[in-house]
Amino acid sequence: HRSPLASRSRAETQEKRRLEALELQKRQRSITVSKARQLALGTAAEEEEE
Amino acid sequence: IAEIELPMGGWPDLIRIMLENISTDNATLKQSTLQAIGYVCEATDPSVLASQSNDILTAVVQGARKEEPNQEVRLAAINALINSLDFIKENFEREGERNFIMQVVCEATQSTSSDVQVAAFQCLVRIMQTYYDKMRLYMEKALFGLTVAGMNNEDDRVALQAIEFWSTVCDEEIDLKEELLEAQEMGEQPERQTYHFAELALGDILPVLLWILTKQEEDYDEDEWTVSMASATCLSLLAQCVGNLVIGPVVPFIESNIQNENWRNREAAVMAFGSIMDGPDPNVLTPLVDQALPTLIAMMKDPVVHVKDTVAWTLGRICELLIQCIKPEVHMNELVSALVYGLQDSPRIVGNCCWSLMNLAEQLGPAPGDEAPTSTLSVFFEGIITALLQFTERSNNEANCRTSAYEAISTLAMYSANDCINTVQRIVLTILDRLEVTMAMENQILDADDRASHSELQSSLLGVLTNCIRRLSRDISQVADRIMTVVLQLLNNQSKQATTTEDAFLAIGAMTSALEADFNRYAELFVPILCNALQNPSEYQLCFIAVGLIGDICRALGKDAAPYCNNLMQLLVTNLQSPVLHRTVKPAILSCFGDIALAIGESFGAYLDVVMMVLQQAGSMRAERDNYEMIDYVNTLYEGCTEAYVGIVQGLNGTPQAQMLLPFLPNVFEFIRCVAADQNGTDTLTRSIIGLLGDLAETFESQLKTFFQQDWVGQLLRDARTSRHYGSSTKETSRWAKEMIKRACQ
Repeated sequence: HRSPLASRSRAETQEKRRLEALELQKRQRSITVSKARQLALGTAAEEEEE
Repeated sequence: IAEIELPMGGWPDLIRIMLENISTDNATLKQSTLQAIGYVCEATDPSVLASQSNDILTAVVQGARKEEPNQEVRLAAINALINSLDFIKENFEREGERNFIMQVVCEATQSTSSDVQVAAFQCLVRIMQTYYDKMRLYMEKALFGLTVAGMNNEDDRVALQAIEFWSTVCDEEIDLKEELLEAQEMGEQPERQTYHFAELALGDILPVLLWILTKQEEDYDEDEWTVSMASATCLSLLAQCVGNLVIGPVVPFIESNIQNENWRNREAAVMAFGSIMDGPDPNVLTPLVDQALPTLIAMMKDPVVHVKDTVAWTLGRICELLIQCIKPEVHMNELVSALVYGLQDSPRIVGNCCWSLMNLAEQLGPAPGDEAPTSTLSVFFEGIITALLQFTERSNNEANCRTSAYEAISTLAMYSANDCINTVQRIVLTILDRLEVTMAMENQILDADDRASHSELQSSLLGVLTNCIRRLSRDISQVADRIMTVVLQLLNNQSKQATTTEDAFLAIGAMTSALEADFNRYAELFVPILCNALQNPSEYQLCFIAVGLIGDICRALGKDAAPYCNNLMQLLVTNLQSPVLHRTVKPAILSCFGDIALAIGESFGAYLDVVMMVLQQAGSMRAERDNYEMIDYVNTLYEGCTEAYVGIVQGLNGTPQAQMLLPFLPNVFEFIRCVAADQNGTDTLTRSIIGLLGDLAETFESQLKTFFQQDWVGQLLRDARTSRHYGSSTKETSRWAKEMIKRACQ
């Protein structure tokens, strides 16, 4: 039995790195968008309170 | 030729001619023709041959019968049958025909020719894969006995296929178990039934598998697939399939063999232990692992390399699957010492030790992004890294050992606690030194092998560097100039391979996130290189990364990205229309439009006409029913469109340019409505379109009141909040959007 590390081809390692980067990008995009939405909710709520 | 001609309606008499050949007495002609039929069946789409399946099947089964005196003809016929299995579905549905085919194949397992036996078992493997649902009767009547006898066959080739048969049974039943769980989760009945063949056969097959585990080859470095390896694989699958039931019969075997003086028994015992780590209930396994751990750790010093290798692999499995068994105060010191000591052993053992260390880091360290002052691994961190860095100084990569060690460093860095930051910084400096050395060596590369090995080393170094940058984040700024100098120099080297460029781009992506606005001082030097990559659509994976990197740069620079956008937008639109560019990149380009819009805000107005037209085109793509690959692709495309719309709407929000969007919005609503009505929509996609509705409400408020008052909008939001098909994040987004729409419509 060999570890997944030892049996992974170069192309597979590359694919793993690509997917990790893609995942991070998606997460960062989602954080940016969510922040704006939370802000919208907060701002609007403040306006109402005023 | 048949593969090309037959689907086009050509060569109409091919099958007839071949069938005539088979009905002659010329054995050589029969054998060659059956081989040819086998190849034709293998290469040709099953639907093309379906109309002739009866004739082909009759001829093939005729040749495979026990009455056929020539075993070579029989062998060719069984091989042809293996390749015909996909298009004889209708014949297999009919009980009489199925019985006859099964009888012929079962009889062939008893042939005097080992070659025919091997092919017959191969055929049974394929039949089990293709027709599991029809196998109940044959399992009871014949296959249990035949395959157990086959596993005991003295010809390894026969035994391998018989073991493979049971691995296939397990594969099928593991899938069925998953389908059952999914159906239960949805409150539905599963489409297929499981017959628990593996569970029923456990008592017969486990003793044979355990016995075969002790039949290892002497030669350690041989890469050949052996019966003991096949047996270990089958045991792993069996454990996943039957869970706790595997433990009872296996534990006595482990206990009586783990300290045996014969290395084969010791290795088999450890292999059996490692193989059952995944499947049974962790609570049941925990006391067993607790008891075995000290013995296993001590066995890393076994005199036989084969045993040490399997011990290292088993420790890796424990670190991966049962980390709770490793008590920091009891086992950690001995375990880490054994694994670090193993780095001085043969390359395969090194590979397993690296994997174990990597698993320890992933399981014990803080998750990336979660800061923690310290972790269980912190006290060992410096020592492990020093040993790994020392090991990676070697020039060869036998059995992938150097790559494994770099991967381990990468993971350890990523999962390090705050008290290990100094060591991570030391890794960065060492990696930069090594990258510089590789560049100085460029002109010493002699041949293609050298080039490949050189490039693989650079990829490993860049991989470590990327993870260290992600981990250090802002702290990387002290060495940012040196990193960018090295990486840009690497990118400007004309003889590099595309994969090196990909890894360099990923490192730069990490730099943008770490430096944010400070990345601006490198942008002017880097963007032209990025544009070059975008101009080569045939290297689509590089293009994919380049597109993602534009998003990274935009998030980092915000409005400062604007000077580069004219050029980048032009290249993105060209690529989107390129027939050469692989379609997987296109949804990413759409998302990238959103990233750009979000970064540069009102300046995006200049691209609005083109982009909205492109998004409308992409959003009107439809997948045919039952074309699952296309359905997945179209869903990805819709996600790209939605991300683009979200970026554009949020980016223009609060700017005078937002009004420029109004003429396009009826189409945007139509897109949202279609996606909402699509039965193939995913949780993510539903969340995205609901988010977009909220963004539209926030940006345009009462201007879109009539749109928001359409029935389907309320229905969509309600479904997302109440249906169990949607996750908590979708429900939360829906509550948010509902609130935004309520405010807009007031």
